[in-house]
Amino acid sequence: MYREVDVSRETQEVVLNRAYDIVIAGGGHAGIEAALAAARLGMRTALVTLRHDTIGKMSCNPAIGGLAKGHLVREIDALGGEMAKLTDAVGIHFKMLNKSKGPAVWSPRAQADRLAYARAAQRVILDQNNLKVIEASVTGLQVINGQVQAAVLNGNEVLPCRALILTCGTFLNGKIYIGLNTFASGRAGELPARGLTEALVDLGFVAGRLKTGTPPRIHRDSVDFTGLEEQKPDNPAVPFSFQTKGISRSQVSCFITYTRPETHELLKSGLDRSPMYTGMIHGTGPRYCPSIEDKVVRFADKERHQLFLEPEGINHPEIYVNGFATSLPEDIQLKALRSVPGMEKAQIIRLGYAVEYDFFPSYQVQHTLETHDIGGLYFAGQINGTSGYEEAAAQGLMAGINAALKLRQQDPLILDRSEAYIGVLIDDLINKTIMEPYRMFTSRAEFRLLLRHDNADLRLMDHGHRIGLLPGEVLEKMQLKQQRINSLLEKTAKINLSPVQFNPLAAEHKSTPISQSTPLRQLMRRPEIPLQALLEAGGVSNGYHDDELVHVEFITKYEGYLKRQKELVAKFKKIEERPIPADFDYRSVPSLSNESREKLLQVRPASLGQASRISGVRHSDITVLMIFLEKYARQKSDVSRETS
Amino acid sequence: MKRFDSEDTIVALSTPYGKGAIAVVRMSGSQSLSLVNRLFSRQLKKQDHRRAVPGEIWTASRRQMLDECVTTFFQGPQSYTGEDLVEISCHGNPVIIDQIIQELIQLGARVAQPGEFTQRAFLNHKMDLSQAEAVAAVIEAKTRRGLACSLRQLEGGISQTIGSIRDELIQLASLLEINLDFNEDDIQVYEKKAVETRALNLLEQIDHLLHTYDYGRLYQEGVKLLLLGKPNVGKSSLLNMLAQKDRALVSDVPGTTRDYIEEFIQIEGFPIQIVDTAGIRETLDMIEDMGVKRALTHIESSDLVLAIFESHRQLDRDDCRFIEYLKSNVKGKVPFIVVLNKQDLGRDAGVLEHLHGLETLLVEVSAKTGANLPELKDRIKQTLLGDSAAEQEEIVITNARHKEALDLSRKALQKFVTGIQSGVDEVILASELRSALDYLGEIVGEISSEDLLNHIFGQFCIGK
Repeated sequence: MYREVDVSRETQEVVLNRAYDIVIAGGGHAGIEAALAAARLGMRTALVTLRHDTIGKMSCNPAIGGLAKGHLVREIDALGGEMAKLTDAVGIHFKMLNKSKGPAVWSPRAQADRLAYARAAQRVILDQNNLKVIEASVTGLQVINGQVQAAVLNGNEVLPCRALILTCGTFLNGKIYIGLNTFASGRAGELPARGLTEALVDLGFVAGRLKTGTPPRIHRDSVDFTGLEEQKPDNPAVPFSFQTKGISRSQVSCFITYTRPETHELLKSGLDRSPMYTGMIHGTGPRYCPSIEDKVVRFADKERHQLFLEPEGINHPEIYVNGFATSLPEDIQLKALRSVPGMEKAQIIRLGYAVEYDFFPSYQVQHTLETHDIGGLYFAGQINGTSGYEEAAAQGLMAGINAALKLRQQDPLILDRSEAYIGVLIDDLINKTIMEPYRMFTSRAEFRLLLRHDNADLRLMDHGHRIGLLPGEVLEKMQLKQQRINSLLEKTAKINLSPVQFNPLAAEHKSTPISQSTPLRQLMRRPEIPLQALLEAGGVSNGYHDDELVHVEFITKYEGYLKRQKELVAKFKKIEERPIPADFDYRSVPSLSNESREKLLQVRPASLGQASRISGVRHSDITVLMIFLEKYARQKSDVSRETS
Repeated sequence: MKRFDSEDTIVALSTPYGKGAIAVVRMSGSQSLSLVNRLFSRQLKKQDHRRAVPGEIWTASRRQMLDECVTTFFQGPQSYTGEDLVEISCHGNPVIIDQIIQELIQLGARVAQPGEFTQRAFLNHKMDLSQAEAVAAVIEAKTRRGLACSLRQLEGGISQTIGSIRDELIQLASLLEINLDFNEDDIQVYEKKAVETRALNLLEQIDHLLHTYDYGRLYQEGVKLLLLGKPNVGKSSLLNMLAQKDRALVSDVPGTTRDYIEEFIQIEGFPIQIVDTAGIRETLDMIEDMGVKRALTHIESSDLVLAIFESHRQLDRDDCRFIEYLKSNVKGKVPFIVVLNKQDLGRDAGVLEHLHGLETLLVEVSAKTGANLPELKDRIKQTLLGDSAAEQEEIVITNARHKEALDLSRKALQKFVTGIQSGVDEVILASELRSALDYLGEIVGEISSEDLLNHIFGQFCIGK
C-alpha cells in the first residue's frame, strides 16, 4: 500500500495531482460495497481510509446475516454486491434461522472468521480495477454552488472528485467509554475522525449523537465448554450468494450459557461507575441491543439472560460473548463474567466498551442517499443512524450505484418497499425519526410475505444486470430458475393423484385420505405434507432445487395471502404515485399542525404516500394535505388555461 | 397549534328550517365577534366566552329591532370549529331567521356550504375521522336514542372501546413478532394455548360490539314493523292509534286498504316504520295482485310482524288459514307478536287457546279505546331488543363503516385462531393479526410497525 502523494506538512492547501469520479471515505462494510460498485460501474474511484489493513474489519460480532439482516445480504448479492460472497468464503458456521416459522422469515446467518473476512475484503478491493486505496483521513470537503468539488484529506490536501460518499461508521468524533474512563477513538485501538462533522455542520447539516456497545472478548482456552449447550451449524450449509456453489471451510459450533443471579448482583454493584447510569453518555443506544447492565436493571425479575459464545475464527482464540455488551469498569466486567457457568476462569482479551459517535439524521438524504442540499454528496451506513454490517453494506451499495448512475446521467436505482428490504430500509431512514440506531426487522416490511430471502434473485437480479453489476450468466441462471418454477407450477396444476397414490402418504403424515382422484395442486395446500413427497407420489421427475421447491410450495400454500399482499401493494403504489410538486409550499397550508409542517419541510416527500409514512405527520394532516394538493392542482390548471 | 384561519366568516341556520320555538343561527370565523356586535344590543367581549347573553338583535342601521335572543360567544380554539364562533338563539320564525342572516351577509359574512362548519372543525383538528362521522350522524339522528348513541360516539366512546381491543391485539401481535424478529433459537417464547385463549376472548368482545350494531342500526335507521291480518280486524285503526294520527283510511268495508300504507312513529325512542298491508285474505287466496306481492316482500324485509286477530269472535276458516300461514311463512323467519284486537267487544276463550299454539307473545288490545296499547308498545320494544337491551352507558355501533371494519377484523382474528389450532406458519398467523389491527386502525387511526416495536422494546427483554 502506498500513499498517493507524499504530502508536505505545510498548512496551505495542496491540490493532489489526481482527480477521481467518486471518492469514498471509510473502508467498512458500507465503504467496501460503495467503492466496488462505483469502480465496477466504470468510475475512477478512490477509497480513503486511515489504515488499509482495517478495511472490512468486523468491529462488532463476527456474524453476518441473521433475522431480516440475512434478507439484506441476499438482496445485496442479487444486485451484484460483495458481502454474500465474502461471507461464503470465510464462513465457519452457517445456520438458517426461523426454520419453523415459515419460509417468508427464514433468515440465513453465518459466523465468519473475523480476520479472514477482513483479508478477503482487502484482497477484493486491491484487485479491483479503477479503484485506489488512499490512506488518509477525510477531514472536510469543498463545495461550489451546492455541488461537491473535492474531498479534503488530512486537513489540507485537496482531492478533486465529482461525488463523495461518506461511510464513516462510528469514527466521527468517536468516543469510547469503559467505566469512568473515556478516550477519543473510532473503534478499539483506532483514532477517531475529526473535523468532518464540523465541516458538514458549517455547510448547514444537522448532526446528532448515537451510542452503541460491544461485549468483552475472551480467550477460547479459558472457557470450559463441557457443561454448555452446543449449537451446531447446519449441514449442509446454505450459502449466502446465489453464485456460490458450496462452502469449503471447516465448520465449528457456537455455545450457549446463561447469567446467574450472582452475575446480576455483581453488575449492579458497578452501576455507580457506569458511564450510562452516571449520565456521562448522551447518545441514544439501541433498545433492541441493550447492555447487560441495562437488561439487569430494566428486567429485574428475569432470573437469567442468555449469552451466545461466538468463535471469532478457526485459528483465532477470541470468543465474542454476545449478550454481554457492557461499558462497566474492567474489574466488574471480569468478576461478572466469571460468575457465569463455563466462564469461571475466563480471561478477557479485549474489554467491552460503549462508543459514542456523530450521525446525521437521515431526513437529510434522498432515496438515492444523495443529500438534499449538496449535489454529489452521499451518506451511507452509521452516518445515517443505522447499526449493523448488513444495513451499512446495503446503503453503501445503493450510494455507490446511484453516484455512478448520476455521473453516467442515467436514471437512479430506487427500490420501493414492495420490492426489497433495502427499499424498506432507505425509505424508513428518510421518513422515520431516528431516535436510536436503526436496525432491520422483518416486521418493518409490510410486504413481508413477498420479500423472502430465497426469492431475492427473482426480485432484484434484473436490476443488478441492467445497471451492469451482475454478470449475464448469473442472470441467465436466475431466468432458468424462474422457468423451472413456472414449469413445476404448470405440472402441479395438471396432475391428479389417485387414492392409491396419495393415501399411504396421508397415513404417514396424519392427513385425511382421499376417496377419488384429486388435483395435486389442491393436495399441496395441506400444510402437513411436504411437496417433495407429493411430487414423488405423483411421479413428477424430481431434481428440483430446494429453492425452487420452497418457492412453489410457498406460493401454492399461501396463494390467498399472497394475493392479498399484492392487492395491498397495488393500493400502496396508488398513493405512492400521487406526487407532491417540488415547489409545493407547506407554509401555504395553515391547518397543518406545526409538527407535521416541520417534518414535511425537513423530509420534502416526493409523494403523498411517502408523506404518510413520515413519523410525526398525523393522519389527519395527510387528509388536510390531500385537500390542499387538490386545491393547488386546480389553481395550476386554472393558470394554464388562462395563459394558453 | 396553528389554526385554520380562513379569510371569510360563515353563517348558517343550524337548526332545521321551519317554525319552531327556538332556532340557532351559527357564525364562525375571525369576524364573528365584531359582526354580531354590529347587530346586538350589548357588546360581547372575549371574556364572554361560553356565556349565554340575552339581548336584542337589531338591523345594522339600528332602525329596527329584529328579535329578542340569546347570543353565546365561543373563543377559538375552544369552539366547535376551532375558530371564533357565535351562536344566536332566536325565535324559530323563518322570517326573523332570514332577516338576521341577511343582515350578517350585508356586513360581510357568507352563507356556509353544507358541512362547512364540520369541515373547519376537521381541518382545525377538533375531531378525528370517527368523530367527524359521528357529527354527520348527530345531524341525521332522527330520534332521542339515536342521538344519545351518536353523542357518545362523539365523546370518543367508540375510540376508547376499540382502543382497548386494539391494545390487546398489539400485545398478541408483539408476542408473535418477537418470536419472528428476535428469537434466533427456535425456542417457543409464548404459550400457544394462552395466546389462543386471549384471541378467543377478543373475538367475544368484538362479537359483542358487532351485536350492538343490530339494535344500533335499529336506533339509527329505524325499525320496520309489518301489520298483518284479515280485512277489517282493525289494522288501520291500530296503526292510527300507534301513530296517534288519523292517517290510514278507516272503513268498515273489508279490503279498504288496497295497497300498503307507511307511517313513521316513535316507540320508546325507536323510529318505527309501520307498514299496513292489503288484507291477508288475498294472500291466502294467492291472488296475484300487487298488494299481496308487496306483503310477501314486506314480511321478509321487516324487523317485526304484528299478526292481528279479533278477540271477540270465534276463529273462522280464514283465521285458521292465517294461523297456518304464520306457521309456515313467518314463524322462525321474523319475530312476530299476536295482537288480539277489539278486546273491548269481548273475548272468545277458544280463540286464545288456538292462538297459544303459535307459541309467541300475545297481547290483547283495543285500538278503539286504546286499552293496553302501552303494554303493546312495551312488548314491541322488548321483542326488538331481545335480551341485549342497550345499557345507557354502553357503546353501540351505529355506523356501517365501523361495523364493516369490525367484521373484517373479526374475520382475520378468526382465521388466526383456526390457524393457530391447525399449525399454520407463524409468519402467516402474524399477518392475520396485522390485518386485524389494520382494520381496527381504519376506525381509530393507523397502527404502524413502530407501534409494535415500541411495545416490544418496552415490555420484553430483547437482545442476546
